[in-house]
Amino acid sequence: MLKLLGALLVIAACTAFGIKSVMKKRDTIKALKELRSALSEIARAINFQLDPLPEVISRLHKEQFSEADSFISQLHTNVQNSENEPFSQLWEHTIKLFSKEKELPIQAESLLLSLGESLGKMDYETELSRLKEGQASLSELIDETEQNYGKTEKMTKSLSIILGIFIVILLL
Amino acid sequence: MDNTKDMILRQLSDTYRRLLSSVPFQGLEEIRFRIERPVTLYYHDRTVYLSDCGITLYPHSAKFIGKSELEDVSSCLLNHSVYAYLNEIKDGFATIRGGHRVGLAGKCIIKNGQITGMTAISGINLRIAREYPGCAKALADRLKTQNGVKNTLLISPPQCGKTTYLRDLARIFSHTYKITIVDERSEIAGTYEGVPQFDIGPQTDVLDRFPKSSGMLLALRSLSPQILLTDELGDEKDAEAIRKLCGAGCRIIASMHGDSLSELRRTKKELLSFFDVAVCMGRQNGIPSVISIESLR
Repeated sequence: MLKLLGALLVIAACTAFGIKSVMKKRDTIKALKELRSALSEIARAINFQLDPLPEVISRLHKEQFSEADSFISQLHTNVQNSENEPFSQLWEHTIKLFSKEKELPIQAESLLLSLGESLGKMDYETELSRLKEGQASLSELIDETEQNYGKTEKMTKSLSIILGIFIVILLL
Repeated sequence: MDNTKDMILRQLSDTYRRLLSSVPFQGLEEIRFRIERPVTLYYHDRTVYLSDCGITLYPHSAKFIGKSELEDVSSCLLNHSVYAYLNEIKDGFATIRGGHRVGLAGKCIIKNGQITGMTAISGINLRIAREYPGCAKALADRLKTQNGVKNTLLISPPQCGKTTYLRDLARIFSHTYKITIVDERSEIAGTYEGVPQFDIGPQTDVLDRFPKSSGMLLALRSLSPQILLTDELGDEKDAEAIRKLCGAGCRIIASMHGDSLSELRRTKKELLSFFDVAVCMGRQNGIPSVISIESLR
């Protein structure tokens, strides 16, 4: 009886591990979509009101990106706490933290870091075109990650169950 | 003045926030940053230099500002968002939070014969806006008539208090009249995120950053002001807008750069014809004040 219980526990643990890994990928896709949406909202705010970036971030935070774990919320907190640090530095700091937390693909991180280097230093048209390019690149990355996710989701889950069964067989 | 000092320091880069924190702001009118030269502080009665331990009278012991530091200062003052100030930069200056004016010197960018911006910033002139509630009280009393207020033009060279007087006149008259300020440079009301940073009175509307001529006409159509105030009149479009305002019975108080009334009589004859009085301003013992009030009728 105990052996059966132990075997079930091992299989359940391996399955949970597989599901967690799949969930992480899903979270990464969600984070990428959130970043794309943040870029789109920043571009919209600049296009419509020509407000400076700290004000844009503050307004977006109030309007819709107020969840504590969202990118805009983290950026807003950093802007609020900064002693007039350059916006590019705050952006870099926030992207690195967010990327670590959400396990973003390295391409996404470097894309956003390079976007941040010029943010706020260009004229209106260049800012908007760079933000649009950023959105387009993120969209490509999201498509790619979603395709990989679709391909590997079932396989990861099945492999984790098989791994559990294999460990049980080895232990028996 | 402490509020002014705090507000300005908050908008500066870390180095200059630290250095200027020990500097007295009472009477300070301008802070000049010139590349590879000493940072200069212009008080109403003296000129001194910024040093690592406060202020100094000697340029050789002053703090010299380098290129990257100057870039940091300009980026901080422009809120790290050049695109938001580009329209103003084209004219050589931008207005920051608190209504303070940032004048820029640098290399001009020209596209299709038009100035589109400025690059290689080599100098910054931070002009400190100040509020002296009550400074225009005596003038306000002289501008009142039985039917309202005289159409008034304040004339002076730069830095003689035109904007400060306009702001105070708005505050005083807004206890009695509906006022609209067309604040093309955000200097009169110092509006930030829609909230005026200066006391402009209870019945005052602000058209912030509107081009003067279109702002004046818009005010007439939508805000029905009894008195309209605006700063630094100049071109023919302004004269045309004022003609329409006068025709609609709205009173106008405005300012204009000029050395003397006689000079303006030659160069801006049409514009002067809309006003009842010209208030010539200047500096007496270093303090901006009214020099003379002359009838134009």
